[in-house]
Amino acid sequence: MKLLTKTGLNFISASIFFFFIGSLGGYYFIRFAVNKMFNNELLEAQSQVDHHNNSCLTYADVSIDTLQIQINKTQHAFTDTIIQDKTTSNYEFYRKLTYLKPTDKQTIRYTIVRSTAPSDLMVMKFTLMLTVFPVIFFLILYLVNRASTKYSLSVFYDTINKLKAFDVNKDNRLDLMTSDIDEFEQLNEVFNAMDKKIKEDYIRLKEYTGNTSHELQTPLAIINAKLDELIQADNLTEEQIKTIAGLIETTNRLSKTNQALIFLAKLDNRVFADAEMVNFNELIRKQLENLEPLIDEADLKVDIISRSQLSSTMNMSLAHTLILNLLKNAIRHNIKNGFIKVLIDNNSLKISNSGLAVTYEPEKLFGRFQKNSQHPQSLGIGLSIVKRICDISGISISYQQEGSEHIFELKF
Amino acid sequence: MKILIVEDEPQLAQSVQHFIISEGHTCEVAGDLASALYLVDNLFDIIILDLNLPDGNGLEVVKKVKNEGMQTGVIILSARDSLENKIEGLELGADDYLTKPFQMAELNARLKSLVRRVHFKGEENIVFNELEITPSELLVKINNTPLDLTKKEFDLLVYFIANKNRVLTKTGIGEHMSKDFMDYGFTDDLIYSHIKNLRKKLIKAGCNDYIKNVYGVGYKFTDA
Repeated sequence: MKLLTKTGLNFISASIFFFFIGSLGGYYFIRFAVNKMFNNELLEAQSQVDHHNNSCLTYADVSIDTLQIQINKTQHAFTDTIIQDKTTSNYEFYRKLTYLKPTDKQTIRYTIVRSTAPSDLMVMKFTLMLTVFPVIFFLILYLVNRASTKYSLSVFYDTINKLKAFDVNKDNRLDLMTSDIDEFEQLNEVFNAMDKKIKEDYIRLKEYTGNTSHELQTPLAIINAKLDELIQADNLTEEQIKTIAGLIETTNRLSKTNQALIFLAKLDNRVFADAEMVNFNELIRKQLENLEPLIDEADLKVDIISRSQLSSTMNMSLAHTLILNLLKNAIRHNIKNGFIKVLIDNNSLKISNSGLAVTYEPEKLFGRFQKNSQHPQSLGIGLSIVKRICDISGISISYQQEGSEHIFELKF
Repeated sequence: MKILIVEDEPQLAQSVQHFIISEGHTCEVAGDLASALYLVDNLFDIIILDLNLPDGNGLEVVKKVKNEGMQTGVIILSARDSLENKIEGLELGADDYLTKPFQMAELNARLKSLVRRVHFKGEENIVFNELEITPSELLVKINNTPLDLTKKEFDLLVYFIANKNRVLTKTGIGEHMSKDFMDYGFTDDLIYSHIKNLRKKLIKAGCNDYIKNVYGVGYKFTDA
């Protein structure tokens, strides 16, 4: 819910509540005042009746009856009543004063009634005024308040929009609007400082990644060079050559692991930000061509079903790595004379392969350094790279198994 | 061939120097940017250049070479492996970019390819006994009969001949073959099948079997 809507709703519901109570109170107050006026008139009438002056009483009707009870004191009672008009047979509202007057032997009851018809109209008008004017007043107040809040919040919305578009990879500053409202001014100052700090840290992190790479790669390069010098020497025994070759391989794996970790760090730091249109049909065809000798070696049958052209905007080198890793995975975990099926739709890509009927847990499958005992030379990092690339490119990847068929599905 | 090595790591510089001398070239070493910029005036054929130098960026050397119009080929040999760095280096006019750690055989292959490009405008054919290769046309002839090879097999053959009489480990060959894309492990089988295919085609076309297996750990291209 928007802030404006929320405050507006609060304002309106509170207004309705208090307005209701106020109108009710106003109505009863007017009623009370009008009744007081009638009561005075009726008392006036009473005094005229008492002085036997009935003839000049124009505004009230008096009826007198005798009660067979004894009372000591005069008693008054004001009530409202409805009386049917004799000529029009309409019911009308009357104010009634009943008072009992004791005489020597009996009690006389005087009933004086006075029509309230003229004042009823007045009360209705007052009540109407009490209802309509506040409604208009509150409405105007609400609209003015809303417009003013909206104006004050414009800086805040600007900040939100700029923060939404924030990208740590972009060099441009956040440049938030200045505001005459202290809270927003402070908020924007905090965000501006944060923006600066995050970008500085990010640059430092990138430098750190580069430095780590350099610091480890150079010694590895030295080891490589020295081992190569050694293996080229004459008169080495078979044992020695095998030992050196083993060392070269281990060093290579070490540097590959290092490179893979640096690559993952770069993925995490979103170094691969620039994107372009990638045609996956073309990409898959090319990569399969590259891998052909390996596919032939394992006698794999490759089926590509292109139902449609699949294009998506992403980083080209990441797209390469993604497809290559998935295809290599499908080849490596295959069986002799097995198959690879690639199904390309306009927004999804399925790569499935035959394999052993082993169940893998999808979460573990995409984890780092998850090794398969049948492939000890594998680093176990390929699928976690696949997962990271999918994550940062907005592709959802899922793995499922149907018997001995392993299926990876990408949804764009 | 006169080669300058710009490398601040003495151990690495020494290994590369040994190797280059063993290939029959003359060689000088600069350990920092200042001496590299000074030595560059001696007109080398090729410079092997590290970028992270103690007193500055090795790209200064590339700038100087290009600004003064020297006919010197430059191979950058750096631990910086990002695409931006590579593009920057190559745009400045470097001829090749190799990231550390590297295989000596790879450096050798790049060196030879650069020599052909810079000094023979890519026209020089590679000849090894009955084999004749025209790199610019991806053409292989055995006793003057053209042989049909795939791009990878052709590349592999050039790599073997550039490193003739040297032990090439499977690891090094794998590195060479997977240089086009990021690749993590598992290339042994790929190497094996590529080499097997190349060998089959060469022998079928009447070429001697020069690719010798070295105790199952690598290969050696030799007519010895």
